[in-house]
Amino acid sequence: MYDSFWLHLSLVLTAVATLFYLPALSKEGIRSVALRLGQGCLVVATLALTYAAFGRYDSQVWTDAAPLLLSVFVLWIALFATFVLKTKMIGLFASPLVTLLLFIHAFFFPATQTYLTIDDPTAQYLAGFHVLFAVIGEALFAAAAGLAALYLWQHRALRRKQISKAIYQGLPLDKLESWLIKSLWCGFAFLTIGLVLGAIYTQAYLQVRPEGLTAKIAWALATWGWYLGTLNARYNLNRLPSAIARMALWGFVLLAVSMFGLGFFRISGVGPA
Amino acid sequence: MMRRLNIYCIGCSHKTADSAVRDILYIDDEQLRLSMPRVQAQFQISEMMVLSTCNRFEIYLAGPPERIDEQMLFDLLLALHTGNQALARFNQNELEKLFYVYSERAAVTHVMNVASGIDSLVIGETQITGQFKDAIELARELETVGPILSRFAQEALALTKSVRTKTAIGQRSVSVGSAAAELVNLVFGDISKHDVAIVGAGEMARLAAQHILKQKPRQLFIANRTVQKAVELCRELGAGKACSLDEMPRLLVDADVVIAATSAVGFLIQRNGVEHALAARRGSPLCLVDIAMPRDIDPAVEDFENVYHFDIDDLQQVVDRNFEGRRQALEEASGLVTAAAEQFDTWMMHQHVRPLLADFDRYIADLMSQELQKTLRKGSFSNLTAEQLKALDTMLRSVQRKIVADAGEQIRNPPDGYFKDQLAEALGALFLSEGKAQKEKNDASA
Repeated sequence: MYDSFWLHLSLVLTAVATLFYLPALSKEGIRSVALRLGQGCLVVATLALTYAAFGRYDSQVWTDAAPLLLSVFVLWIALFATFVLKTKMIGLFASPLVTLLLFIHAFFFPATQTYLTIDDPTAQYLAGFHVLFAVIGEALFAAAAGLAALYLWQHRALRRKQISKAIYQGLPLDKLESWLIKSLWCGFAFLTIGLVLGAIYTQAYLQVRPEGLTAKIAWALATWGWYLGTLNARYNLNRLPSAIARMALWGFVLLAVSMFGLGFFRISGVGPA
Repeated sequence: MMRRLNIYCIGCSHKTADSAVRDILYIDDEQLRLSMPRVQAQFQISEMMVLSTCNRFEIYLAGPPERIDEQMLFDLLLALHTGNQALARFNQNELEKLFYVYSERAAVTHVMNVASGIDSLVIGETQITGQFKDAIELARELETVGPILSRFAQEALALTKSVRTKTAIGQRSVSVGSAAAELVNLVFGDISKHDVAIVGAGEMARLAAQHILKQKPRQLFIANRTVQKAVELCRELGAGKACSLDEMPRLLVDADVVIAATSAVGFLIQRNGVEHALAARRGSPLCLVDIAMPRDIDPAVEDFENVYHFDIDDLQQVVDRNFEGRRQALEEASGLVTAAAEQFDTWMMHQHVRPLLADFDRYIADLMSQELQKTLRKGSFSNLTAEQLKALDTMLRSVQRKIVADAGEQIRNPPDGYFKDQLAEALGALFLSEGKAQKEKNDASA
């Protein structure tokens, strides 16, 4: 089988492991199952990527193989730390790092060989679902920004003891925080799936990446990284809910502004697009 | 003929008497068990019940108007307090200033206001409804109430439910304990997922714990300097885990809500204690409510971003705002009371009119029967056939029914310028035995 399949499989699995390593589910039992699933995904992804990377190595395309070899190296260290050194949470850092490397590889290193023809309807589905998932993810981030604003309003009113200003009596802080985190997690999951589909599409059908996509891809990866950081700040760095709300709100504002900026550059022809 | 029964009320409340007087008047259930049947028999009252709480003492009666007057009500009140030396020191004038007396519609409206919490010190409070229920239960047990007061209590309790569901009168908390719970709910909407610690085992702590327990916290800790008192409070509440104040550092880590209500001087919960706890809480918020006077929680805890600290002044904001909300709902509730009082009045009238109309029916039937016999004895009607006699009888019965039905309809729905009572009394006076006998007696003496 062509090595791209193993490459794509490892991308999917590291992306899924990234989601599993975010303990979004509050119940301890479910979290433990999610952790085990994350570790399982990481093991399979390591094997698949090792196979894919050595396939590329044989093809003598060094610039192409370098990020893959780096990813393999990171993954094997992660597995060693997880199973030998019993550092179970190493995958928390390894899986998003490798996912990001694979995204960069997929988007910035065009495939040397496409393995499906453009006439294949799968291509249309891949492109369609890529857009759909990414848009849903961004919509959820917009919702998270709204919830974050509400949270900060309530938080501020209660901290300043302006009880009459805490107008949303039916929306206590813990409920707002819970909705905020859920919408961030779901948004992140949708965006991750959207990016994975985009990466596969790029690798499978685009031998030459259009120049105009560079800024868009950079923006999408920055968005992905920002929300990954936000979720990790809450779950793994135990940052306060108010800090998470600020990250969700200002992050969305900055990303929205930069997206409009991208659009403006593309329309006016000033920027890279 | 059944006599008309009216509702009467004599009592005093927080509006007319201070707590010292109310303490004197208070009678517990055990005493009432002894005195109520005795007084009822002594005064030959048809029905009576007593509502005795810390904020009011009221006697409700149902009886014929001609037998009950204000003086009799005061005598009855004193008879219930036989042996109460403190009350005996009050003279009639002083008693009249302390007590209010209501009769008929005014009494009905007053009692409905009382039962639904409209007349309470804390408008819309629910405790009075429970006390009213207990009072009617006791009266039923002692058999001092009959159909009138039973029905009346039933109507009053139904009204209470309606006032609570249809108006905002009871929706907002107006006690410090409930306001504390309301503030906690702004931070943690569902307390069942969180542990709560109450610091102190006094009255304020008990009230706060009762309000918190209504929301079923995951676990309730009662911490007190004297652990035995905390154990007793847990036993009284039927929930909670007692612990000593030495366990405070652990409680600040485990519990998400801490309500402090001790009478201790100095801060029991200090800034550095909270700082240590926050480090172990992994970013989860902490809600600290201080309802103690002097304060138990160092206000410097507000420096921490993840701490929501409220003290008695913040609770007062909630109480004041909610009081205002209840006042606004009062008008709406009063409308419901008026409607319920009117409905009960109509029921009372029916109770009075039904036997009256039955008597009137009998009177007309007797009259017609007598007149028919007289007529039949006359020669021209002596040879009527059985069929003709039956037809004549049917016609007379029909006329009888029509007269009685028309009279009933007129009493129930009197024409403009007339009152139900007036018409009922007039019917009794004109046609029925007592009224007629009185009239005949007057005619004879004239």
